[in-house]
Amino acid sequence: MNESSGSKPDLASVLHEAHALVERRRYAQARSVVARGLSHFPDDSELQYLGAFVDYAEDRHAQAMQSIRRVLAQNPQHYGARMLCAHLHDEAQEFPQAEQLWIELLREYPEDPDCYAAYAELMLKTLNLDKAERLAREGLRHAPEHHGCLFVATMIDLIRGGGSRQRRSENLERLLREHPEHVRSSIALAVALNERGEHGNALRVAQELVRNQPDSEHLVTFARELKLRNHWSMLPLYPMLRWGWGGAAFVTLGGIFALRAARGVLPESVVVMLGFVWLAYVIYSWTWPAILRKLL
Amino acid sequence: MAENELLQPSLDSDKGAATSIYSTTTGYMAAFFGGPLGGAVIALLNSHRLRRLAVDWPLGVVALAITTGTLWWEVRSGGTRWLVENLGPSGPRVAVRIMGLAMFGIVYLAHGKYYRNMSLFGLKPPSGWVPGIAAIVGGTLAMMGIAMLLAP
Repeated sequence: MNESSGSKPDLASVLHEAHALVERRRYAQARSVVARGLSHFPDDSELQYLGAFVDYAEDRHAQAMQSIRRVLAQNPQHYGARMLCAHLHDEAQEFPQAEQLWIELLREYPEDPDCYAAYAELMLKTLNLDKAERLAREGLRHAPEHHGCLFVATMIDLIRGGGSRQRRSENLERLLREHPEHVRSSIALAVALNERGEHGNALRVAQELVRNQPDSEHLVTFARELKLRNHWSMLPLYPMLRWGWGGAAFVTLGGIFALRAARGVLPESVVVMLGFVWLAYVIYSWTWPAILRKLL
Repeated sequence: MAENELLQPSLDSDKGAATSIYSTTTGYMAAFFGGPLGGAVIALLNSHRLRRLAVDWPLGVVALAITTGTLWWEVRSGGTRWLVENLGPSGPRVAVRIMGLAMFGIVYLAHGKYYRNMSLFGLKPPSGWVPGIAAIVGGTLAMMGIAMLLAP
């Protein structure tokens, strides 16, 4: 904004400047431009929306919601405001309200991949896997390389696990090829590496992500979990780490049967000692990961 | 849009919190100590939370069939004697553990993707202490009841 402080600025140029700053994620400057704009045009819904967006981007969700309600009171059909409102409901775990908004938006914009991706992700967060998959597929039908839809499709492939390996890596490869710069592409990569048992590589990707986004609680938790899996003291628990509950069941039953078999072969004192070792191992497997999680 | 049913709401408007299910630890413990019926209790509670009881109800039938079949064999066909002779005095208890773990395996086949979904999205499971203990106690009592009914 280049006008002198006393004269009324041109609304179009204020909006242009604010949009440009928001796009470049220069939120502090955007906030100041929006505030100055609102002092001259207090009823402008686009400026109010941009102010709400900056609040949302800076994690001031309550303020963002207040502003967005004002925008929607003035202009109930404002596309950006409705999307932002849905995201705010999502963040506040008001999932049914968020869903209602996504459905309304999709009824009006049935080819909008952003809405499909956001709604699909909401369905994933609420364990509606089948619907999430169909939404992501529908989104990809309209925009085959859409980042959000590809991310959801990749995550669903990883969750299902049982699908063909080719299909699983296809979505991931497309995501990494088309959107290598996106943080979510790296998250998907780290998750995929972890699922394949490449915990070391997954940890390296996750640590890099945490370095770039140290405030992300989810990423920090994910990296900590990977660090735990890579810790030397977890090596004895390899069967559980690699094969999950199948490994745990095998170790439990294997131990019971091995001790029974040893009874007829080894001296009683040795069997008793082996029994204690096995019991200690079982206790270790249940308690140590929880303790280590607190220590790391 | 061709797929109009995609635009039907899937979430209850009176539910504000995330949908999550009891953890694998709760299910494993309930099945291990409470037998197949204990494992089925947690599995069906999870199915109820996932609103898929209409699909998952056979899990209860499977648990009942495994329990009744094994107890029939133990009580009516000399299975208890065989277990004691081959696995020692605690053989019947070991059999309950094996049945429980088998049931957990079946449950995991049905609900594994939801557990993975929760794990990947960092969704926290509800506390499983109360339902877990209730499932263990209920499963054990039910097994004792069935064994008494089958006793000659």
